Amino acid sequence: MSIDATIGALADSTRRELLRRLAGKPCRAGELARGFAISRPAICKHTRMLGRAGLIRAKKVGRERIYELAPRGRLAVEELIKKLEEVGAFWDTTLDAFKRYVEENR
Amino acid sequence: MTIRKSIRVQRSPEIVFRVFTEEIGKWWPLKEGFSFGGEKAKDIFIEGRVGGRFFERFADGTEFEVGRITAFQPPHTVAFTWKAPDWEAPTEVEVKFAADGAGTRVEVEHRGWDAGPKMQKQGQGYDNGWNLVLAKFTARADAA
Repeated sequence: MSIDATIGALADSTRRELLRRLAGKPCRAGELARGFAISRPAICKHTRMLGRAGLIRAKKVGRERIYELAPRGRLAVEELIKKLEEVGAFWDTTLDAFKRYVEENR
Repeated sequence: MTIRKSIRVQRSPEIVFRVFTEEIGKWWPLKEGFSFGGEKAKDIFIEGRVGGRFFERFADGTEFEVGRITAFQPPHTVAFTWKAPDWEAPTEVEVKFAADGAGTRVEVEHRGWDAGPKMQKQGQGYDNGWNLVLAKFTARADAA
């Protein structure tokens, strides 16, 4: 899975909510789409995108479609968060060093 | 998705911009590990023009180009690309300088993470760690 796909998939609040719902347990398609302000087809588009990003997968149980988190999705998201935190910490240190230098030397 | 940081420096934008760009080798924390050269870290430069290089020069004289200058408007803005050797595509850094009372507000935006490295790792499974991960991610994304 690429980080591009992970970021793209998570850059939307509806998709984050879908993931949050699936984080605890697998969910039937109808149940998953309930309670959103947007249409059912729009929700389907979001679930397809999450599926293409490798974050969730669907299985058929009888006539039902059950969604669940894909096993490798969690690691991808954790890698992304770790990277963003590292870069954030990097800029904190760098800007502190800059401020100190300017105020001591100018 | 964007990383945003800011700091206030008790000097004018003219001074702050000049030190940030011309004197970057004096203050950039190269010796604290913020170098692509590791032990070889020696100096770092921002060439003050669009198309100029943002690069490190190591103790052995070799150079590593971190990126290219994409905006250079003293004393307001400097922007450059940023690519670590193992990234597939560059990210973008924009630094803005704005008068803030008698000082200067320095704002850094580091964006373009959707062009970052591929990560082909396989996961081992999932659990409720997801809840924590997503909560953290959501807080970050919403702040961005």
